[in-house]
Amino acid sequence: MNRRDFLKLSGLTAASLALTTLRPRALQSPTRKLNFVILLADTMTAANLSLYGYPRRTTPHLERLAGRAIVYHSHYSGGNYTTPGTASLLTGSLPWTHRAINLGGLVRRQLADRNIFHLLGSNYHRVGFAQNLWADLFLRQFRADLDTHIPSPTFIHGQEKPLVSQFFKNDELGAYYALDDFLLSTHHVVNPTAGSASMGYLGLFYGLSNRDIGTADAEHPYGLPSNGYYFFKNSVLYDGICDTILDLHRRENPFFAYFHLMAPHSTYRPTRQFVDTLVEMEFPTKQFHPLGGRTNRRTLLEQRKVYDEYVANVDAEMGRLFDSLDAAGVLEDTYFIITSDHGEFFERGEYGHDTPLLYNPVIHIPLLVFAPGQSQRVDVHTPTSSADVLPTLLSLAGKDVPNGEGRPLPGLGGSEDGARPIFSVEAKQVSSFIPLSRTSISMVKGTKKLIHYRGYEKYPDAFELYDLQTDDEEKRDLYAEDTVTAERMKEELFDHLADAEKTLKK
Amino acid sequence: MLKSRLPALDAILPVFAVISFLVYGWTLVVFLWKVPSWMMFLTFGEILSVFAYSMTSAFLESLAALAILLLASMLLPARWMREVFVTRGSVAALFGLGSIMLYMYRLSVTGYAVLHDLFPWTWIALALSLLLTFLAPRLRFVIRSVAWISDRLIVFLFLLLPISLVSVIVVIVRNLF
Repeated sequence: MNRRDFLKLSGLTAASLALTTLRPRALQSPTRKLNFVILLADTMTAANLSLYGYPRRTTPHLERLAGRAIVYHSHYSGGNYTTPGTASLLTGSLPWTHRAINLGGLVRRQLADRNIFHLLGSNYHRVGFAQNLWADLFLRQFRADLDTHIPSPTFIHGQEKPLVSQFFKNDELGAYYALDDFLLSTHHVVNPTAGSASMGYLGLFYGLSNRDIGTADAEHPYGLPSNGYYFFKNSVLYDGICDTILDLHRRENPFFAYFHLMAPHSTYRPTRQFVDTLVEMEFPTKQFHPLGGRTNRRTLLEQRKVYDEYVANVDAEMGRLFDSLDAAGVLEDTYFIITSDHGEFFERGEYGHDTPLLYNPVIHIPLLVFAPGQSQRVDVHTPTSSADVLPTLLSLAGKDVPNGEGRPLPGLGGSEDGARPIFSVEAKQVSSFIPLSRTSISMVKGTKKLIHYRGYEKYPDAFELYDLQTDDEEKRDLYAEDTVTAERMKEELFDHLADAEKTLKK
Repeated sequence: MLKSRLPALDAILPVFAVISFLVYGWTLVVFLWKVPSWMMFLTFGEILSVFAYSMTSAFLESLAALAILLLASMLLPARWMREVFVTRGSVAALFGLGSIMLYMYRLSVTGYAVLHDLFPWTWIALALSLLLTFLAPRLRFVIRSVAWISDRLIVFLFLLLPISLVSVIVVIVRNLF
């Protein structure tokens, strides 16, 4: 047994002992109201958090708070960008089932009722807020199941571009696609041309007259954080979230609140307090990938550094929020969950997450669950999926858990299952209504990880196999060596894909 | 009083046809460019609702542009605008809306780099449009061409106006219920 095995075993033993006591304690009185808060930091990769062993000290606050949380060490997002990752969290299913696979896509209409807000039911006051507009689309899609949908441009510092669909209260979703995404849009990559020339033209004047709002100042040397439509300050945003939770907590009914916050998504804009505070470091060099970019190493290191600083900034805000809620007694009857929708990538010539690649930095995300009254740390190393959050919450709320791809998390109603495959899917170039003809699929099972690339001209029907225990940087492809494992995992992957596509045909 | 300041309906209609042709034309071309991407994740009904919003918007934009020209007609001496409404209105619409569309096309090709010349472009386009609008009634061939074109564009209104009417109803219903 090596050191890693020993640590895992100790963690699991401690987890089993601790978790048997956690849940009954939280639910000791059936009449006691239990609330749920999900705080999602967009684009926060587990790979760059010191909480999970990253050599730069990016998350001292999360490390401190983890002392009273269940820390999931192998938690994977359903996808590698906002749309599939968020949809997996909110529906408890994987992208090949929920089909929110395209940029700005929606959950398959037949499955829309299987969202977390609907399933928790009206006993809860259900609140949703998303700064990322693609995540906000889901809140719009599930609007009938939310008691309060906080408009995306709330807690902001100033508007950069007009956002008008929020005023169409009865048709926010249709108005978004027609107005914000088409008639008014001048996004130079996604929508280069506004559907209305004159409104787009006027929108440019609006943008120019407001652009100074976000320029650099003493507190924000890189400028103010932005979601592409408005500028915000993370300190103000987190204060707003805190006030919202405190307000919800004062109510009679239990509540479920989902906050999808933009930071640390690019463009990375830490405050001065975090600039140049982390140590300079070297990171392993990795070969370019046929499907990856060709960004030079120096740029990757520079981007990684600013990202890390921004993560440290977010970590500090999370710590401040947590402490305020703790002082107000909110955490005594609230499950507080910190996670992300996908990761970020600074290797193999690629940075960001707009990539068909599914290496761990883009899909391995943090998950910390603070159970009410929890006072000790529990570490869970079994691989888990973002699709597991929904069944976990339903289980904790005493609701029926529908059959699906997600399972209650170990320690929170579920059990450890090392033989369970965990999938992440990237398929943004395929229609959401047809089988996945061009896709990347990652399957983690135990310590092994198989990545399948299908339908790419540059890398047709390729497979890669890694042993995450001995090679957590995914540098040594074992596909040609460990053929037995590879074949077994391939077969399992294809079975699951076939099952999912059968459902699609139905 | 108000009616006497406005051009006759048979002079308004050709100008509205020119404006509509430009505004609806732009919206429809960009709409068709976007349809393949929407087909990836929106249902047919959802795409139709986007179309309804687009046609409603094009209708309101066209009306707004016409209203500006009608306002000019009401405020300016009759021989400056009302008596030559078809020529001046059509030329103003062609060059005013045309310059906006040309800029937006440049933006789509070059990206935000062109933003630095937004203000100069606007002033120059405005000045040129005014100059050409002023000169148009003095050039016989322009008068004849504009009358010929605008007259023929009226036929599109028989298609665009009913579509817009249905679209306005769809948008109202979607936002009321």
